Amino acid sequence: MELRFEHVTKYYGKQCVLDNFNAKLTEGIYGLLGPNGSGKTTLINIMIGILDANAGRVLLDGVDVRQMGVEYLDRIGYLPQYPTFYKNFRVDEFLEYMCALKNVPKTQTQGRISEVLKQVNLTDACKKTIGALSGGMKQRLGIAQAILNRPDILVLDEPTAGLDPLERIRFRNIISRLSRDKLVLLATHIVSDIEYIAKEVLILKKGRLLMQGTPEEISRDLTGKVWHVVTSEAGLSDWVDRYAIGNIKRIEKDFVLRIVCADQPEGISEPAEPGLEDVFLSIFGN
Amino acid sequence: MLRIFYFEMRKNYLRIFIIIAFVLFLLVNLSLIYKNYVNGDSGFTGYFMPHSADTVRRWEFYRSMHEKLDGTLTAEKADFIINENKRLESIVSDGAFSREYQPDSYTGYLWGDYVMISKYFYDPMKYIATYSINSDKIVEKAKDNIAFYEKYGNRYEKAKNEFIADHYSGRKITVFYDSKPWELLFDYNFSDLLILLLLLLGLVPMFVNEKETKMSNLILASKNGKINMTLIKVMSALTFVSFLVFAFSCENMLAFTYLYGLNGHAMPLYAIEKYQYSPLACSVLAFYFLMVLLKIIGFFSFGLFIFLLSSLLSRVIYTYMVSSLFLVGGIYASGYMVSVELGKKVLSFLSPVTLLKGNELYSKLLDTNILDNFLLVPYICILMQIITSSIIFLFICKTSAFKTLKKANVLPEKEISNGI
Repeated sequence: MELRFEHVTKYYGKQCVLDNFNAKLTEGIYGLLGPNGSGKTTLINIMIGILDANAGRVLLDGVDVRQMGVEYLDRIGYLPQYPTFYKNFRVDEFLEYMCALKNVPKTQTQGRISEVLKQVNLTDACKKTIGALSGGMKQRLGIAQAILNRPDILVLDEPTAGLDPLERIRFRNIISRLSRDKLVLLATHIVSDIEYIAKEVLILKKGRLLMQGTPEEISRDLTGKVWHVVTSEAGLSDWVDRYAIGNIKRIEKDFVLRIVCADQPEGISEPAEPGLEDVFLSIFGN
Repeated sequence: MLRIFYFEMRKNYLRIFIIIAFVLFLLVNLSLIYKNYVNGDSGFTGYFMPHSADTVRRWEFYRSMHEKLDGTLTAEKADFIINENKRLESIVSDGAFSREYQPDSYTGYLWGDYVMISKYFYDPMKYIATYSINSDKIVEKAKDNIAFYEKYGNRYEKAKNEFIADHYSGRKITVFYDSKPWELLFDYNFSDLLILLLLLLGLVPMFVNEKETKMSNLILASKNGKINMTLIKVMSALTFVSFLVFAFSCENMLAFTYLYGLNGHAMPLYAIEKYQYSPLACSVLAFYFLMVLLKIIGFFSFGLFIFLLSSLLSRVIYTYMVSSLFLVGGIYASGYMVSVELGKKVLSFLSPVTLLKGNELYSKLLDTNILDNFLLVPYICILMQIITSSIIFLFICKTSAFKTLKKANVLPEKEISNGI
């Protein structure tokens, strides 16, 4: 399976929110990384067919998705950003509704619901109303509804926003398990969501695709540019003013700073292993 | 399709607070009907006297007389009432009659007997007996007018008189029943206010809720969500409106039947004195169904306007506020139904609330002159609501949360060119 974006461009009025986006995606997890307003949701909306691009096209296995008609939607599972669903619905009732929307045959509905609830570990919450679910459970319900139609492509827009660390880890693990034979596109501005599970990362800035590659490939560009620096409390503000700081850690009276800098900084410093967060900082930091 | 329709109902209407409000409003409605029954239709100044310990005997007499007289109007029944009225009139006419309690009288007092016989039986019976004569006079006059207006080329007046000659000829009333409860039922409109409140509760969140929950995106990204979701929502609203109107209309009818006794379902509408000039010649029961139908159209039309606001505005509170303002404006505009100014009349035609007043629309011949054409106001109102509803529906399809539902997004080019 291959999903290809060719010259996808989108304007809102005169503002260009997606600028000549080109990419090729196959099975596996892809992280779509970028700050708020970088064009992630616009790209996703075009990808799932609810927004028209001004130019360009999306091809699935070489066929324009617009020509595939609603059959294309059969192959897509989607979780929107910050969904709250219907608070008065029970979990199973909501999934039944989604089955109806996704045209899952009535005879298969109950089987599918049991299957997806098991996959996202929500079987016990089956009869609960959605209003009574925690944030993490709601997101897992979001995943459940997205995979009801057994899609080849799973699109998740900011799925971990507002989740506590434990739920975030649980969520990541579910995504990893689901990614077999599927293309998963996970849009986020939280680097740790994708750092360990993404096959490739796409970095968007102001509607432009800046980078695409494995986390290792992308991080490799920063080899020799990430440093740990030790400084006193008095010198801390000077470092903060001059460099992009990835982390500040207090050790007794001193501070260890993680900074991104092309040249070795003055003072007590040593090179550090670069990560995706450093890449993010180097692109979107001051 | 049916499954989605069911869930649309479940999502918006089968909600605990709407069900509670519905039950509560049914009880409130019932209480008000009972209160009116106990207190009389307008206290002591209304047609019906209150129900109290003082009026028990009079009410018993009233009911026993109707049991005796209801049905086909015969000469014996008419003679009995005429003679009784004459007898009592002669007793009370000089003012020297006894004011003391009379155990052998109908109501306990001579004046009470006279009032009961003349007001509740003699006058109504006289109206029924003389209706066909009066109606024939109107028809004769209309026929004269047709020739007159034809001579002077007044197309509107000629058409109006032709309508009168056609629709009012051959009218006669052969039965005598207590028609006042029917009139009270037709005039009772408190339940309409309760329905409007329930509509606000049920319809306002329709589109806004999809946006707030982000479900509009999910619906659009699903196979069956691509079908016309707006149409399903509109159909569910029509079902909701019809259910509410039907439920409250049934409750009203059952309550009036139980309390007042609605008899003579088949008597013509013009047997009710207030409707003597009505252009309709159907039975009272058929007229009640017609009123229910008009209310469904009116409420549905109002509901579509709420839909429009719900699709345009991003917050539920704004939709509630603007809908409430529109409702107040609609009620106000509907009062211009009989205005002589065309501008005000048009406002009343545009107001969906006008259709909730079927009792006023059909109590007499309400017509208007548009470009020298004779047009019945009820038909214009219905036509206006159909036109405005269609325009609003098309507008909602264009502007709703499902506006991204474009064929180009999902259908093959050949299907688009085929207009599918």
